[in-house]
Amino acid sequence: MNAFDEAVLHEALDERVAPVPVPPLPLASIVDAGTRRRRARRLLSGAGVAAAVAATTVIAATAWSGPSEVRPSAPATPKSTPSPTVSAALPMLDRLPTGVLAGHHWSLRVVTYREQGDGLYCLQWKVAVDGHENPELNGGCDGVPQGQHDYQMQEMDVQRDPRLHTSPQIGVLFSGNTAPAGAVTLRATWGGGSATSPVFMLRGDIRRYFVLAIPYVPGHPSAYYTVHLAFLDRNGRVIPDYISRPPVQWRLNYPTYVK
Amino acid sequence: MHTANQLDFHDFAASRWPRLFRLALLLTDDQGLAEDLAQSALTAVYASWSRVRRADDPDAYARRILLNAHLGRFRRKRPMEVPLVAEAGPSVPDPAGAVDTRLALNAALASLPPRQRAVVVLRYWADLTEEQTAASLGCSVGTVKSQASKAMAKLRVHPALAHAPEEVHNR
Repeated sequence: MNAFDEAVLHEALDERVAPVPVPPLPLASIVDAGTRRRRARRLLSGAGVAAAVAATTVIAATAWSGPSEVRPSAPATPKSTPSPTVSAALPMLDRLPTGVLAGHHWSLRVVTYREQGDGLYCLQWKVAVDGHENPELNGGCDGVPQGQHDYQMQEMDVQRDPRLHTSPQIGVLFSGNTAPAGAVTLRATWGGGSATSPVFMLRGDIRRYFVLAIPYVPGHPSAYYTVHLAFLDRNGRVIPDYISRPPVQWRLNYPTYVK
Repeated sequence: MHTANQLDFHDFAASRWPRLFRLALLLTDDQGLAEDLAQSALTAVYASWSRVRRADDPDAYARRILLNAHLGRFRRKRPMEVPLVAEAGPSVPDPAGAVDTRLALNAALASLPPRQRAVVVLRYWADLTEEQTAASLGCSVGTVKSQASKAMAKLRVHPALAHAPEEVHNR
């Protein structure tokens, strides 16, 4: 046991950064990037977005011990891709689902997004349960697709809101790129359960938002836990791809959160 | 952007850049990443400069963007691959002590979850109040208190700091 003192922490932190030289301010890059961002924002509020986001959402029932009923208020089946205009794209973002999960109303919405070449990309999302928005659950979307075969999200952290002791479920939205060929289900697995969501693909679609309802388990040892993602084929087998690789070679962060 | 506004931004960026870089460095422990985060924050500030400059606290805006970007990295993409080789044990203290102090602090900070680390850096390096820290992280004051308390408890018992030079503890 050491006696690390709060009073000297400031000094120790200062000593940590003081010897590191500050790089020169990249002002030109900042101004260029900032200008591009402003233009993109203006495009979003005006006319002429190059293409629209192809986003549909799915609410999945969970395979939890106490079966929870999910009644999405948004259509569960995707419709045709909207035409590439602002007026078509933005309502798609607004139509992210709200639903009732075991008596708890939850909703998700994309709060910021950006235009990049061929579409709109989610930047941030928010989750509300019973109208109670939890900043801890807000997050960024995986907004920079690196290519059709780049499945970036393999696991994610879920943080339960300690103020919502009575709410056993939270909804989590994440974005991913194209599912592997043959994928019909997306599965999320965590400390004591799993949830699945059908994968709907449209022809030519290279990205999609999926929504999974992930319940919080009363008695779970931690408010934090890690969720693993995998695509499954129609026989329920994990499709061996980047996103589905068993995480054996990775040290998960879960134990660091367990109290 | 009008020239006057641009000059304002240039002044703002030049004066805040070192602080933002160091904040990001303490959060990430990676100079390249710290530079990227600080640059991203100032880019977002520039994109909204006409609004930000009228805000009560432009620094808070820049700080919050930086923190969101940093914490968002953990939500979006976990750092997937980390070495499985066992970490080296605590080093033998050198006479000067300064290097060991930094190494010990690095190791201890790295053991904290991102949000707890952010709370420690904001509270004890940036000297923000609990309210300011809560505003920067978009959480409640109660959350800041509990996260700070947990973080300090972990730091106190962290083995790396247990082996740090005595002066770290008793200055």
